[in-house]
Amino acid sequence: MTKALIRKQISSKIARGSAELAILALLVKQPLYGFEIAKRIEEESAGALRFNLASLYPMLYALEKRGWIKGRWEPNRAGRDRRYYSATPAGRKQLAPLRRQWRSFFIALDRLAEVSRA
Amino acid sequence: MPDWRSMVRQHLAASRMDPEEREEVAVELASHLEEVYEDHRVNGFSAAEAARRASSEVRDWRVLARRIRHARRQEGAVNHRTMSIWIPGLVSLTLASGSLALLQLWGVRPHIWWTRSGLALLFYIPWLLAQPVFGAVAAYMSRRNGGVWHERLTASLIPAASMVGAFCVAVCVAIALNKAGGGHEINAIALSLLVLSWAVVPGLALALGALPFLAGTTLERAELEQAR
Repeated sequence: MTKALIRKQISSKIARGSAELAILALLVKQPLYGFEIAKRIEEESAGALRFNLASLYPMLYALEKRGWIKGRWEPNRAGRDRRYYSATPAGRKQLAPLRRQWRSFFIALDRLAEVSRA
Repeated sequence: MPDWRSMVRQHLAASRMDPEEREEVAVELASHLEEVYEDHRVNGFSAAEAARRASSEVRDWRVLARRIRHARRQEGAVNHRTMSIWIPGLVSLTLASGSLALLQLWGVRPHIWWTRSGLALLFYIPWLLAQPVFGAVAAYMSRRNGGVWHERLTASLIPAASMVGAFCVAVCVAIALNKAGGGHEINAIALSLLVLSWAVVPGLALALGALPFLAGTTLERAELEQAR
């Protein structure tokens, strides 16, 4: 396996893992629809994390398939149907270990590279 | 405002989702694009610019459709690789090796060109002429299975790549035998001619056959990186 491929896989895993955490952390608070999820993530991460349609929906569907979130259609006043996603009990259970993993990851990275003092 | 719903339906029309599932996804994605468009309008962009920005949310609809299908079915990238490279490549390899075996069975003689140094370039002309067809079959299958251009090309070149692999193994064995003192000298020119007649030329013919299937529609042009 080439270094470039390993780097790509790590980067892809980090991106996927951080996206899962970001989405779950939002949806445990309240049900949101796709556009709102993308908007809130961008706002709350001060633009550091940004989802477009192409990156958001495959992730939402994968999380739904895994049983961590659940979508349901709801009409709104403008007559536009929206699919609201909320965290399932299984998803809520996943959030704590995910947070721990990321905390450990950042602590380890910080120790190694002194990221916080860089 | 653009008709996002019909645009998304059109983009997803070729995807291999169930019609009901496809419609549900189309409605949700179109609704998202409507919101993105309206958000840009509220932020002062012109209708044309807002539409352009909303459209740029997806660079390759074909890739997105595949990712959504995989996500909803929990299929992995390995499965996609199998479908877009390995299965078409295996079909092409079977056709190439099967046809060669048949030609030899029927007693078809190879065409031999002698070089000045007395080395031979050996070609089974009918087999060589059939290579573009095998390359085309592999590229077509790969495209049907959602392969992007380089996956289609890789699938079509698998018979030639197998020959290169076989030559590499043979060279390694020859080197090992040489070291053990029982082998023959490796003639680099003869080896090059072998690679040329059994891998390079057939590879070019395979790629030629794959060529019409490499260029996709405008929807297929964006890169795979976005998806992975």
